[in-house]
Amino acid sequence: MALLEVSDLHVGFESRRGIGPWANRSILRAVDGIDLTVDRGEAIGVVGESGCGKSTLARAIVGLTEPTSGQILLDGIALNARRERADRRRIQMVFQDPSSSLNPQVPIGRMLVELLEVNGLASGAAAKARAAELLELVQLPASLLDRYPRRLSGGQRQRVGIARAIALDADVIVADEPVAALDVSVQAAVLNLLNDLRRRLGLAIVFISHDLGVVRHVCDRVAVVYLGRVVEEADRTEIFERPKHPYTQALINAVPTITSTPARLVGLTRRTTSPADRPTGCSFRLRCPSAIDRCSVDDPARRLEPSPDRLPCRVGRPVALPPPDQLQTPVSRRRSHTDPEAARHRQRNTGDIGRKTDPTTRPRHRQPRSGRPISQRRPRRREHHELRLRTGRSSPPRGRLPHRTCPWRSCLGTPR
Amino acid sequence: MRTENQVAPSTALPRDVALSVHRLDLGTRAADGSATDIVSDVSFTVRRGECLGLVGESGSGKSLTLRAVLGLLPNGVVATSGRIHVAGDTGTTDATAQTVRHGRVGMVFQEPMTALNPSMRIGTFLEKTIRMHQPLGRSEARRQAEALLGDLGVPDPKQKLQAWPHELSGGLRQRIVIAAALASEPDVLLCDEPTTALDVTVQDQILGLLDEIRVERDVGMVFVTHDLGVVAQVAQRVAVMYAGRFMETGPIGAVFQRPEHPYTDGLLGAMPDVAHDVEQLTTIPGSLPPVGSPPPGCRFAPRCRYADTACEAIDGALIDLPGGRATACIAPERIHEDRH
Repeated sequence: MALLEVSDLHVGFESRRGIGPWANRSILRAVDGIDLTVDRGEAIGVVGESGCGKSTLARAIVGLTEPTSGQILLDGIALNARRERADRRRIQMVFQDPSSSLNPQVPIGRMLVELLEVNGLASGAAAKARAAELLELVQLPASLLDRYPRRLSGGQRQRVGIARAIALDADVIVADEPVAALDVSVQAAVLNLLNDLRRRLGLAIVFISHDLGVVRHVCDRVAVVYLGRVVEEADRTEIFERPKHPYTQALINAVPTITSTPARLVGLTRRTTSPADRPTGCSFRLRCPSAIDRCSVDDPARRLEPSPDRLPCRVGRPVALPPPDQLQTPVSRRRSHTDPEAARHRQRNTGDIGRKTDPTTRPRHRQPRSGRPISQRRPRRREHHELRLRTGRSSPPRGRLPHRTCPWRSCLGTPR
Repeated sequence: MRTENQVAPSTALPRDVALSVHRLDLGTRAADGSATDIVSDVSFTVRRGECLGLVGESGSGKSLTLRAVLGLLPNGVVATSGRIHVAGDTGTTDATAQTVRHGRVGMVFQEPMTALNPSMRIGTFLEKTIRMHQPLGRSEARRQAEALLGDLGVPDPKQKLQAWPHELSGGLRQRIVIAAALASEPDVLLCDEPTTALDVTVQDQILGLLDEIRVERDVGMVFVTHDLGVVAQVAQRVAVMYAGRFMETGPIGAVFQRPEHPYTDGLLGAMPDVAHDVEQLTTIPGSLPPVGSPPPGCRFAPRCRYADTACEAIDGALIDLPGGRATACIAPERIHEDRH
């Protein structure tokens, strides 16, 4: 049994434009059905661009963000939304910026002692001794115990952050970009330390990063996330030597290395898509250099059984392939005729990372100037869509309803 | 401290040179007259259409060097000696004079969000920048801003001029900052970690764009970064900086393939490689010496695995090597012996 299992995890945030009854609500699905398993002593890398939901995933695993649906299992037991203290202790986090995640007013020794005492692991002299031992584990001299965080270097601070995470004998460490703020030589030392601790303490590590070089150094397995969904997951060597998904290929190609000659992005159209404006079908198809017509119809990421080597792309490796003759026409030539949505996207974002709040990308269902008040109108189209997903029904139950009630009300239950 | 007449009086800059910095010293001066050195004896030239990469850890003085070229040193830091010569600039070349060299020098900052004024629309910002350098009317300046954004691959530039900085994505904001830097049609473009805040895919686009600008506009570029991979993509020559001094300079391929300084070697070993599995990254033990009290002799010696007593007696000046390279290490052959 896997130590940590994330199963069909969804995390959504309500985004609201306007106030009161005029508010235009929509749900931004930051994590949209992610499955992950991590074994004891294993390090799994989660990579993707900013905004793809990797940090939300990290926070949900640790319990800092409540998932909308889905489960997080530790040793096969599902964790409650409000975690027991014992469960919280077993999953700990290392934050990105060590200078803002340590209390500037507390010496690091006192911070560690307090942590041990609050959790009832040790107290008094025993706690102090344990704190010194923890610093030793992260290769810092015990003489630093009385120091305030500001008197430590960036690398030392991050080591303290790691010491804090392992202080409660955690089984799983979720590290969210732990070395992004560090210099390359310090970064190397911290990465070596993480690798060493993993071996010595048998830690499972969920390593979130946008730096693929770092991920390759630390992780055994890598999951590539795009718009809240895993688009490829495989062993380290497999994913770096033989990436299959077009997005993984593009990401790896984009990493500048000292040996490669300058090679610009291969084929990837430039615009990033945001989770608030997700295209139909495969989320990546509008940027994909090898998208075919069927990619706009359904999302292979939706129907995939969890397996060690997952790849929700029918171009990289066929998933429920259409007949081969339909496969071959590249969308670049046909898209504008066959797919009005792609044409719309392309037209307004001619080859670039567009404006985040382009007026034309705002949801079209805004309140008309005239007509019935918003409270009496039917839920808007996007909300209908959300409600369909949540209830599994294609339309609200029929029947006359009292004034100002939502036709879906009977199937929704109380909000969480 | 060096006196003025020891500085080479190179008044005329060769035609193809965009920027020449000669024996620049930067430091702080306390009220009682005591001085601390932050950057010592930094000299380099950048030709037109060439990019010099400046790499090193944070605190090594790379950004300060750039700011000295622009004349925008932070409060308390002054140039104590040296010459800075910018092509087409008629002002003084004396670095100690603290002249602001806007106009002939453009700068791209690290964090585009803080480089842009959040309370000013993109159009207003660019318009003002352009009118600072050229005697143009507002509508003419706006037309020029639009054309500039178009050149930089910004989609729908007219509409973008109406946008506020917070409405734009990171990559787009960085393009606006680049546009502002190019507004005066400078001969020298300084880039201070312009892609650190961006995703790899966007970083790739910005690096490509800077490359195009360098070739098409024939500007000399200085690119400061701590990422050796990035520098290998954009620069032709590289200078490795440590604790305020150049450790090694030379053509990028040669330096990265066969480093002639233990610090460069250490940096390369510490870099995780996306193309290969590395079991253990080599690390550089210790940390940067505190600013103002560098160790005697070679500043890297206390962290260097090859250091011996001779290293404490040198002055740290660069020693020329064949192939346009130079190193501050007195015995670089020790690195290569160690490799075999």
